[in-house]
Amino acid sequence: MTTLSMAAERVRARSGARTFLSRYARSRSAVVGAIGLLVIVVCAVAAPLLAPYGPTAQSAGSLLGPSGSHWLGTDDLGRDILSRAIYGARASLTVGCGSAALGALIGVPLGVVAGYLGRWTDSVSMRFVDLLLAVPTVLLALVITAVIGASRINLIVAIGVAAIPQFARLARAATLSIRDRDFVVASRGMGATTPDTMFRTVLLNLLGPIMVQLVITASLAVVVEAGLSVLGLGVPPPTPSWGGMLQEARGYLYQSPTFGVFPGLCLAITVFCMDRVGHGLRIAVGVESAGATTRAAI
Amino acid sequence: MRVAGSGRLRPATAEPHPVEEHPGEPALRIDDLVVEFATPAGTVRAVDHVTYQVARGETLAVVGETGSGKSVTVLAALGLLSAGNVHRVSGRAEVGGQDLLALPARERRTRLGADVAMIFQDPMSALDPVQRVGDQIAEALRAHDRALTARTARARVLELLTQVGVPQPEIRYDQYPHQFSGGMCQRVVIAMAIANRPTVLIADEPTTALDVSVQAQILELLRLAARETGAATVLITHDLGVVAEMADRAAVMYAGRIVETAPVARIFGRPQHPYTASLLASLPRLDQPRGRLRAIPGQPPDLRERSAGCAFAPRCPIGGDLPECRTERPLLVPRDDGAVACHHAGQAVTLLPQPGARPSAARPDDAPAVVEVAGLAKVFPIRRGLLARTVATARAVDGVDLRIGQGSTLGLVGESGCGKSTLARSLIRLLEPTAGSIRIDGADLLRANGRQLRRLRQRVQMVYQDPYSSLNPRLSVGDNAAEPLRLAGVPRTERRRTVLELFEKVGLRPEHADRLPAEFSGGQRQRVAIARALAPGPALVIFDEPVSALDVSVQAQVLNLLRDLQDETGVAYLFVSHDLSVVRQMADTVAVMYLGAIVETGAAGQLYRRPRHPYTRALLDSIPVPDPSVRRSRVPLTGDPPDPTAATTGCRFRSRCPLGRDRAACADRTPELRQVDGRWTACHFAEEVA
Repeated sequence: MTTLSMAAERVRARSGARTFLSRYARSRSAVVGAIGLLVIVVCAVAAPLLAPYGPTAQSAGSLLGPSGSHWLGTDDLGRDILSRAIYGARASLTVGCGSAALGALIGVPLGVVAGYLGRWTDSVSMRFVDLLLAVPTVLLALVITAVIGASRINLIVAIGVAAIPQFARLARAATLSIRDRDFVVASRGMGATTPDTMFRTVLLNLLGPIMVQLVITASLAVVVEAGLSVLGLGVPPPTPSWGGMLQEARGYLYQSPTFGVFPGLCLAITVFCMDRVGHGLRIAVGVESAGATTRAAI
Repeated sequence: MRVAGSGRLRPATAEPHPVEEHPGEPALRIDDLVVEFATPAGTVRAVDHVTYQVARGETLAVVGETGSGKSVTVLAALGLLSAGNVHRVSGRAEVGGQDLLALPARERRTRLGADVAMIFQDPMSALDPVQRVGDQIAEALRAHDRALTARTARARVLELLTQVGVPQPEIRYDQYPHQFSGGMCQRVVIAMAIANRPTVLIADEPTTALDVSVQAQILELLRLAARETGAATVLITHDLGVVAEMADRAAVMYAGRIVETAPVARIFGRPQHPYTASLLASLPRLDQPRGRLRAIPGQPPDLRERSAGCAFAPRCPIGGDLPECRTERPLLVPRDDGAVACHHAGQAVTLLPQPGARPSAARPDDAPAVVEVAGLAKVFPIRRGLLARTVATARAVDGVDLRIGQGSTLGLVGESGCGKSTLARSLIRLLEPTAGSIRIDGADLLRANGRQLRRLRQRVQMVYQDPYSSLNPRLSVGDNAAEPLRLAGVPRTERRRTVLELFEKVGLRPEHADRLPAEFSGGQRQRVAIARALAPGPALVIFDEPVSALDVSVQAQVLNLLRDLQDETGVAYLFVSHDLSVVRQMADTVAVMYLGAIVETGAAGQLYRRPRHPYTRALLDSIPVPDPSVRRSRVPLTGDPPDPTAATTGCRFRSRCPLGRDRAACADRTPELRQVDGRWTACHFAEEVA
């Protein structure tokens, strides 16, 4: 069967970007996810153009139902819910992506170094990672925000630190699997320094799985951010965030259902889209086949 | 018809291989088989109207390169094709007159179990790692014969193990596969295969994963097994030497079709298809004078690009430009004792190498040394237990002296585990030697550090075995080749210029420099690796099995290229290989390694003509020669390559040596290299080796 798999490999390789896309597109839900995510990103970036009102602008009445001027009604302070939800995408996305990026920025080099050097470097860094892993994400973020206060940056730091283990472990495992491949050996044989081998030759070959992990971690971070906001540890008011809006809506669920339901819906859709994009990337990178369901990434 | 008593299968000594008649119904008949796979690039026809049959007692060799469809044919015929993307399997596959493809899965399985046995390439993965070896064979027996009691099954298994030459079967019965060597595993697989006296025996590259000396043993055993069971044997292989040695008939496959089939004597003596003839001409062989190989140009076919004409036409020296070959697919028609699919079948014989080809001159040996190695040793500690204490050592390289002159080639030969790769890797300090010295251009490599080390490393480059893993998959091939220059601090534009020049030299198109390695075939990737090795202008390039991962037709291209490059640049080569024919083709001087030490070294011509060490002699005898007329009855080396952790006194080779097994001198004193008959040999009784 080697003949077939080799033929398949050649087929896959033909033209990089195009096959990547065609493999990605093999999962229809991944395409839907990508389109959805694109819409959400556009909302976040172009919020001032799209939102009918400013995020903190107050108008006539509070807790109004949906109407022509306020499609989703207003909140307890008379702010337009639709506008706040559109602006709220900014908080969710920046915190989600920022913390995933932070986790990768620290976790990946840590994992690569641990995996490549092995021995005591490996033991020490992996015990550190185990330590982080032993503390629940939300608890860790809670402690960090409690100590250094709640702001967008602090949220990113808090959730990002909690995301380090995933990246470190992923990078370490992937490094171990290619460390003894001939091209890495060849790089050493040509006289490359250890950092050069680690961060050029090895790292370059980890980009696929890291990309997948980034998306998955970002989707988790969005959920954690919302959770912290509900606990009152999120982006401080009056900046809108979906989690914050949920928290504000808690007391008014019966009077004004759209107040709570809509931000929740936004959250759910964002996380779903990110998850599907991660699924598509996994297929494209070759970690998973199109038929398989996504395994829990936590 | 069991062999009398419980004795092992014995080679029928000196029995000539008669051209047997194979009357009656064929045991296996494959008729008009077509197999297609669905791929993202469209439907690929891997097997294209293949028809062949094998009679009882007959051995048919199916020869072909990667992707020729030789394995897929059999797997599909037996209904064993499990790939998810099988698009179509049509045709007939009859075993004992019954079409397997028409049977429901359940009945087919019963039928297969009763009549067909398979032997695969990798014996280790063919056995269940968590079940006792004997029980696995017993299970095969009892699945077939429910009435068999545990005790009789065990007795029968012991008998089978004895037959296939597994020593101490009572002890071996209760061991697990990991306690067996590769050769022993293959023996067990064969025992399992013949346990139920199949009528059809299918061996898919049965010796490809094994060492030469073990290969010879297994081939002998296969032959005896086939004879003893009287089964129809299908031997799938890429190795023409094995074909000549084993088969009665051969079918040559190319791009999913049979292009020629005939009795082996005819195939090798008067090939009618240009592909068959070209393959024979491109083989480096021991029985012919060394010279430039006739490589087949181009790449093995891409099945996704089906042309209307003959699949071989783009590479064919005869029909390459002829319109009928380009537009009309030749059919397999009977001709001269067999059948051939070629419009110009008569002309193929002219492609065979003519005897008396001019041997290329060996290079003088007195050139100044590029590399001098003295007393090199590499010892690996073997750690066990909780505290990882060193419990034993493996002396992978044990006191090796080497010298490679400017512009010359040293061939380093040995079986797996002999330390040849460890030695090669020590030369660029991928491994730190335990003792000894390495001088490159007179400078001490092991003492060098910093700038000096970096400079020395530029002087020695390496090409690895597997071109699929030795290039960084995320860098373009151009960047891959430029890596050593980048590390040497050469500016980008200059790197680019050097690489493009090199691409031209190694036969790659410079405009492909920006593509990723995955877009290239194995042979092309190996060219990239060669360009990379030559980029910094080294004095020595080390080749670690550079062609063993390549298809036969591509091997010759690469070997020729290496010779040309050496002539052009005057670079020295260290050519490490297990393949003595390839080494003979390349090397001026040859060193034979066994268990970490060089046992014989000398000028290539002389060493091959008259080996003086029993090990060299045995290795040479082990290689199947692609010429059915010199088929020999031989069992050259018994046993497996020994375990390098075992401490030995005396001669390392003693345990397997036909000469010194019982001699006191061999047990007492380790033989030193001494000059015998113009070369250096480490054997007390070198004079006795004929």
